[in-house]
Amino acid sequence: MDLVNGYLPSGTEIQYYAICHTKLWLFAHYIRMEDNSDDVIIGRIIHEDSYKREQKEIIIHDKIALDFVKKGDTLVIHEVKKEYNLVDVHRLQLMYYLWYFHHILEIWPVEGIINYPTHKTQEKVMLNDQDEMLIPEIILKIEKIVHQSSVPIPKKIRPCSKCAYFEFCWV
Amino acid sequence: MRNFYLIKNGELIRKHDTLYFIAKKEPANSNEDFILEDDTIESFCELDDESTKPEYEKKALPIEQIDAIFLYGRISLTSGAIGLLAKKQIPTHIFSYYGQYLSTIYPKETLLSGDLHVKQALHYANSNERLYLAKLFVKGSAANILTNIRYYERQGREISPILSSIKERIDEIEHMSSINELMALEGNIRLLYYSTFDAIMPSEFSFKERTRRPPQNPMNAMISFGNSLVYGEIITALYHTQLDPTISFLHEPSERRFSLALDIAEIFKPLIVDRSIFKLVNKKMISADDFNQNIGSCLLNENGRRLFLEEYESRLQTTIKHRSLHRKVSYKRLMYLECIKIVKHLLGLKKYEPFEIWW
Repeated sequence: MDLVNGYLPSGTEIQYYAICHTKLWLFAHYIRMEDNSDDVIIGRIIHEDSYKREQKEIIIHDKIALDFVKKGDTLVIHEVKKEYNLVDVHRLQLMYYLWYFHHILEIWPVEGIINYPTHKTQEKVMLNDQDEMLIPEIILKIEKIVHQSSVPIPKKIRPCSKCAYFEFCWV
Repeated sequence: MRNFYLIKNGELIRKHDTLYFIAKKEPANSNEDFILEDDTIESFCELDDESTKPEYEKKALPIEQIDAIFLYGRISLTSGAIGLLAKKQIPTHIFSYYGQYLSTIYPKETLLSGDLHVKQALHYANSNERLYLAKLFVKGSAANILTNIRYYERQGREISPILSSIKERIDEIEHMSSINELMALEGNIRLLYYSTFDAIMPSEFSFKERTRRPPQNPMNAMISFGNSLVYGEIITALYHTQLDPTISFLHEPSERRFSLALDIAEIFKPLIVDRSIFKLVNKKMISADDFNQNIGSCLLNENGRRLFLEEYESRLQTTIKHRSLHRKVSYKRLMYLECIKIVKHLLGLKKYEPFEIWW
């Protein structure tokens, strides 16, 4: 992809881009926090306990970690999430995976599904032409943030209170 | 999360994902949290076969709740136990019979940032940047010293002249142009501070002067014991950050292995160690019987260590409302937050301001 200079963010970086640029920069520079929050532990248990029959945790190029995939008429990639709180972020993450399959792995068609096992619901994610254009733009923006020499100044937003970087940003 | 202090001889072993401490059984009515030292055996402990005997007991340690382990007794560790401690990221600090810090079994580093490491080294190598941080460590330490003795001045102890001398010295910090000058000034402030102790403490705990290796009297014994605990505590805090504990600013990096821990410990000694001592002594919780006095040395004995560690640990767990986080934070957590503030300084995100007691 000449569009993106070969730089490709990880799935986590896509999520952090959509949540908070400070977190994105710190994470990309390996300033990482040990998260002992109950939410993270519950999240991990949900991952381990749900969809036990599926082949889980498929990691591609060290960039994207798929929770599980299903092969039918088309390939379906599944993402498991705990809460509805950041639906837009979850959707963007999966859109990036679909784009990655299409343009990097050259596998198409692929569908995406976000699973909320605690709510027993699913959400289908599609990639339309507009989204196809959006993803490379986001990749460029992420690359710009990650490569800037200084940390983006933290801004207080709703997710702060549950973020592993809370103490870091506000001490 | 809390620390575990093992002050009895024994053995740490692993069975599956549980850590067990095997030691001789305690007499009835002993304190559950602190295991008393039995100091009659000089050889290393090999209790595996004996652990089934009735005079030994095996205790499971709540590994998910342990932040760090402090070893005071002679304790054998199996490779399995060390592996489990590494997996759970629990540093284990080892102290000599005299209570001096010896070493840490440091779990494999999982938090590494090459970027921050370079920035930390550059701050050390640039003499202005280094002096800037070093001054702040001295300022923070001095401010907390001042808070401690102001309290006793308000109680009517006659220490006003020393208090004003300390204030004058604090004003000089800003004008120091080298690390050596700054270190000398810091030593000076601490001497002035210690010279108030005899006015603060009852006469049976007369302090006279600071003596180390070995300490000469009970006050010195408690200061040495407490200071090594805080040193271990900051090493634990540093382990949970990307900071390199060997690159320091006030102390020379060559001085001791984890010299950054020495820098940060200065700030917390007045709050954690000195206040523990004042309380133990002034409330008559500790007495001369809790020390082993020999010619040329004085050390806390079994009971003294237990009393000190109880007071120390409860102080670490004390919480206050943090002024910028608006959350309850323990004194222990304050030490970790101090490390985080240094990370932010090194990254250029926020100028470091040392912790000063604000309550």
